[in-house]
Amino acid sequence: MKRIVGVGVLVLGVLAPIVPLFVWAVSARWRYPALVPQEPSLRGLRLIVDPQTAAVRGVATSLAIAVAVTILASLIGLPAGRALGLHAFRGKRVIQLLLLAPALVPTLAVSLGMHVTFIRYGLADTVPGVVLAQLVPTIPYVTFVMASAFANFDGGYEQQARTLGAGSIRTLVSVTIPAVRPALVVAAYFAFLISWSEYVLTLVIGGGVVQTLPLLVFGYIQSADLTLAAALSLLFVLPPLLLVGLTSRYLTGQSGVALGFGRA
Amino acid sequence: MTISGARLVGLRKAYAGRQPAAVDGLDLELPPGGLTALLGPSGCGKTTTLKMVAGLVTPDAGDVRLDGRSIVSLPPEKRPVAMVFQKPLLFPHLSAGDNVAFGLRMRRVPLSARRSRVADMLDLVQLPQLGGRRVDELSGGQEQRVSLARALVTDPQLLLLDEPFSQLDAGLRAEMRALVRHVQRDTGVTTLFVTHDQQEAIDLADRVALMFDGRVEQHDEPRAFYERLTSLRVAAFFGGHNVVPGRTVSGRFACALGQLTVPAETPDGAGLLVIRPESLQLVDGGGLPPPNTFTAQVMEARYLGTHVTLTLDAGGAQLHLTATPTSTVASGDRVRVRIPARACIVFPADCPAAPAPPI
Repeated sequence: MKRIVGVGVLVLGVLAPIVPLFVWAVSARWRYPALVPQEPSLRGLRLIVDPQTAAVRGVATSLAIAVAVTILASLIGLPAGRALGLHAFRGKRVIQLLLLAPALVPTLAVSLGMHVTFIRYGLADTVPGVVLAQLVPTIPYVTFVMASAFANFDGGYEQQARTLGAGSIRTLVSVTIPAVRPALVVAAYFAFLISWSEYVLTLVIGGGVVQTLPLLVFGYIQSADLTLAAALSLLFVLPPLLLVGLTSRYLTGQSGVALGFGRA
Repeated sequence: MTISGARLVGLRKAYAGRQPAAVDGLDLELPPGGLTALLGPSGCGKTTTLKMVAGLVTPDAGDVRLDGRSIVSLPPEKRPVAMVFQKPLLFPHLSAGDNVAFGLRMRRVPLSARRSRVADMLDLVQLPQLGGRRVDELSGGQEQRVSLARALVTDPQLLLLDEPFSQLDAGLRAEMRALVRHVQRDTGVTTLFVTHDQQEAIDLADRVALMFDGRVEQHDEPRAFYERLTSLRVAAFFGGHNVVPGRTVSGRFACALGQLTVPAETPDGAGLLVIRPESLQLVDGGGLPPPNTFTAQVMEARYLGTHVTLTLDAGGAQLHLTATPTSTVASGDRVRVRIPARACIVFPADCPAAPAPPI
């Protein structure tokens, strides 16, 4: 029963809004009150399958940036979250507040401030610059998710591993990461999504030179070309949906604590 | 492998912002192949000491030596020391057998050698055939057995046990004690065992180190804690002692019980006589009283199956006496009691901690 409700919510809430996109992507004209488009078109499909188009290059750029951001944010957020969740130390509250700061300050203000600095260091209008900029909203996310996972993790497991002959790196790989894996997957997924759909930071720091998918979609929407915008949007929702499918087993409440690593 | 002894020398650890130091100049000698209990009230620094030996806590000062070689600068994974914690801490993503194999895997022992060694270890802790079990399918006692096997699998020179049975119920605890004794004799590994339970320490260990306030107060064989007390605090910790205030003058102790002969080396002056309930003897009423006897009124007689505990009033002093279960003394009787002079210990009256009320 629970499962049926879950699937129902998923279909209505996530998939139903996408259905018109499919229709729009293959229509040239579709006006109210017609139920089917008046005129079909293959322009949209051509845009998203022809490797020569800006769309396909946009997908590649977006993917590269999102993967880089996900990896870097996880590499930084995992140890940071471990420190925040496992240890009490002076200045902990200040750090927690600083981590929240990017969420409290409007992105536009942050990006304009960063832009000035990035120009000075030659990072403006470059992919590495965009990756760096996107770490600002993603690292706090990963850190917070990991901190709450580590708050329920018994540090004794790490000490036990050390006394059994595991160095600190091997302890991390063989004991700590398996313990927080579900949280890490969720955190990485969020980081990927944030990067994948980031618009303002990419626009300002990338200066229009770094063309990611969201920038292209906005461009077509602005020029009122709904066929291309819809086709591109389909491309845009595909990777997140694939990721949800792959990680769903971690997203349905199976936490590290459920695995048995918790503090008894 | 030769069996190693260990020495802790002047270990000291103060946690930031906390006074006094958790461990303050601790010296302890662990004889090769021996089972030493580190006993003490909670918060006396036992676990901190153990973690310094394991390398999990860095001491402020002092040294840990194995066979004369200092290991204090080595990280925990490089020390030939294994530790079993209060909680089993079995890695939940691994099977019972893979948990035992963990230390071997970290030392890159080949798989085939690992398998046979794990099977041997599970046999040793009397859990054969359980290697394939998932950790959450094990009972509390089984978990702690697997944890013990996991610690021993790499042939450590020193085994540390941090109250490993404190979370088990009483029956299981007795069983685990027997297992630890068996395993320890079998492997001959030098063992340091932390506990706050004096019964457990006396039962299990060859040597007991009693710890107060970050220091070893008395390090002795178990029976010495009943027969050769070195301080009033030790008597208070072990409990059950009778304490009678009085004054010593050249080997005679004047108190509510009368004039008693005490060991000749007892210094003169105000003192506290400490004597265990088992050392007091009931004597027959007839004839001349033997030396060092007094008469007392029985306030209460409790039959406890293996013995009878009498509560006595002697000249205003309350005493406990443990009699044989065949004793028929009843409440209200007057009895004659002998105190053997060699069982008397007199501490100076200005000793810091007065013992808690007996029994």
